[in-house]
Amino acid sequence: MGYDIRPLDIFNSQTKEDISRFLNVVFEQDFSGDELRLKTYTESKAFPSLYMGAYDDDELVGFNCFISHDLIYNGEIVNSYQTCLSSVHPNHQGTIFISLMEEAKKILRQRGAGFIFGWPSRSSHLVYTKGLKFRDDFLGIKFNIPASTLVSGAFFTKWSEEKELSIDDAFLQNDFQLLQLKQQRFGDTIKVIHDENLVWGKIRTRKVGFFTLKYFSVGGMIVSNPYLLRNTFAKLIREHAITWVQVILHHSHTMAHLFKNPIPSRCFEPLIVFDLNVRTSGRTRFNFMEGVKDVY
Amino acid sequence: MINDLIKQIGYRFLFKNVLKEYGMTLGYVFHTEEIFDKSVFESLMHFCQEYRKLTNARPICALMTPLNPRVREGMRIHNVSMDEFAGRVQLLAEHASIGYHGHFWFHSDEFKNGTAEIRCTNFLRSAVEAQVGEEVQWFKSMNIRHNNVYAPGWWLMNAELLAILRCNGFDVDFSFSKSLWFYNAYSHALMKRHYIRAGEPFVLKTRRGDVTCIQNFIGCHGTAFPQDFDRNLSSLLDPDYREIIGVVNAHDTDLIGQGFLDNTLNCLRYLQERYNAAIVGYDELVAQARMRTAKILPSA
Repeated sequence: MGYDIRPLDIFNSQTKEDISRFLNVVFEQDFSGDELRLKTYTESKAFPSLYMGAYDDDELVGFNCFISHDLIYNGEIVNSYQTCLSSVHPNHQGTIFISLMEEAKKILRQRGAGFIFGWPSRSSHLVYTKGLKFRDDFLGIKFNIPASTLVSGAFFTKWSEEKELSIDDAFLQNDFQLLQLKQQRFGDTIKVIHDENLVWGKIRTRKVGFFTLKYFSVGGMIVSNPYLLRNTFAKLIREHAITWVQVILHHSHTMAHLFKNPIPSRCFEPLIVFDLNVRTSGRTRFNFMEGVKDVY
Repeated sequence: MINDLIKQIGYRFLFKNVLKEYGMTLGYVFHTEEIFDKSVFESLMHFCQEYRKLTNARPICALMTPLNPRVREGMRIHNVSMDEFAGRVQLLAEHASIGYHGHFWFHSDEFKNGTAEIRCTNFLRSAVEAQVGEEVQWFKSMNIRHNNVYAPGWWLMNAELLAILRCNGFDVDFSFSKSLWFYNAYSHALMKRHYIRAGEPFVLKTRRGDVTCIQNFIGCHGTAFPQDFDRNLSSLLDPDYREIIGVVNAHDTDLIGQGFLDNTLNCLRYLQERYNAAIVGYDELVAQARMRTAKILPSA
């Protein structure tokens, strides 16, 4: 069966309606109104986010979003894309998703994009790695820092003159761009703690037995002075009524060594990467935190 | 209060004459960010005059120009015109050596958003290059000499910025520091790699030319205890490098703090009397640094 695969204009009211109806069926979530735009549309220095659709006659039956990220690499922007909301209508399973993704790769390569990355769910992970040749990269590492200035210090590496902090040859998430995206969706829910360093994130809740506990999930951070990082977190803890601060970083993050005592987690979805105009490898450093993810 | 008491007792026994083995040549750099505020401007003018009376030297006022969005916003709030601002800088130049102080942004409209500020760990060359170019043009158009001197915040220095500055004529820099309070990933690694000691001037070769780097020792010493200076500086020093040259820094807004002016002048007087410290102006500082520089290093 031949499908019409093409980029979609999410500002076109008919297309917007098609996507919304389709996503509501597939994900059983409310994507009506501006939800999709608020969640995924970034104004990049290069190109905005890309939305691909597969039509069977006039019916949208496959969809994928590519969030445009102006990652920073050695002081330059490397426009790269996060694949998300990958979805095919239950009645149209088959090669449709592969075709849609291959078409997207062509378009993004022509845009000069660095690479495509993402954190697919367990169900679509194999399609990405086997069918679409994405490289399976490392998992994240997690730190749960108790919200007590008395004990939180034990979770930070003691900084001394012998230590170094480097961002050379690392792809940095663009916190300026991310914060704009998240704030347009969540408003004041996104908190920014700013002194010599900057940490941003949001307060989430988790049910533990009968209790619902609040914790601060760090979306990103700009560390200028690692020596004073624990002070920044102490400020965060003082300013918010939370039980702990959760820091999740990609395994290769060049600032992972600022923290101590990681805890194992079985819930991580691994980062997957497909190179377009930039060559990455298993040794490439991605300074990614939770905030870069579409689901954050 | 308790802190002061502890210091008062402690300094009777500790850190006494701890710098006496060192020859000190010092300059003073003001990060000049808010002279759109008349009270800050007047305080700074007053300080510079008093400083000159005491030391016979001029401090360095590294200036954020009115093209910087944060200054522009301040000028709007304080109803200060571009000409009035330039006039204040001209007056300041009579008592201080003017330099350039940078705060850079991803997007100038978003300067209030903390993530919009460019630091060492989110450096974006194109944005910095554009802003430096515009601000240097402002100095030229107002006929204000920036003396080719750059004093940044500690949060942003790297080989790219040095090259951009050098390309725009800046050949003296005051950003490097051994103090962990002024930690910067790039400058820290560079000084470590080349065994640069506190107070040791050095030259960095950029692809656009050489930059003389004079270290920034510590922040303002505006406390009532001049011995704070001894304690803080001595923790950075290397006993094998005793002829030290560098600057201390403060913000123009610090002058609004109670006692800052008197305490600072008192501290400078103390350094002169106790340690025979040479407190010098920009020309002397740079000349001395260039004379003593033994290390010429690649910036990248």
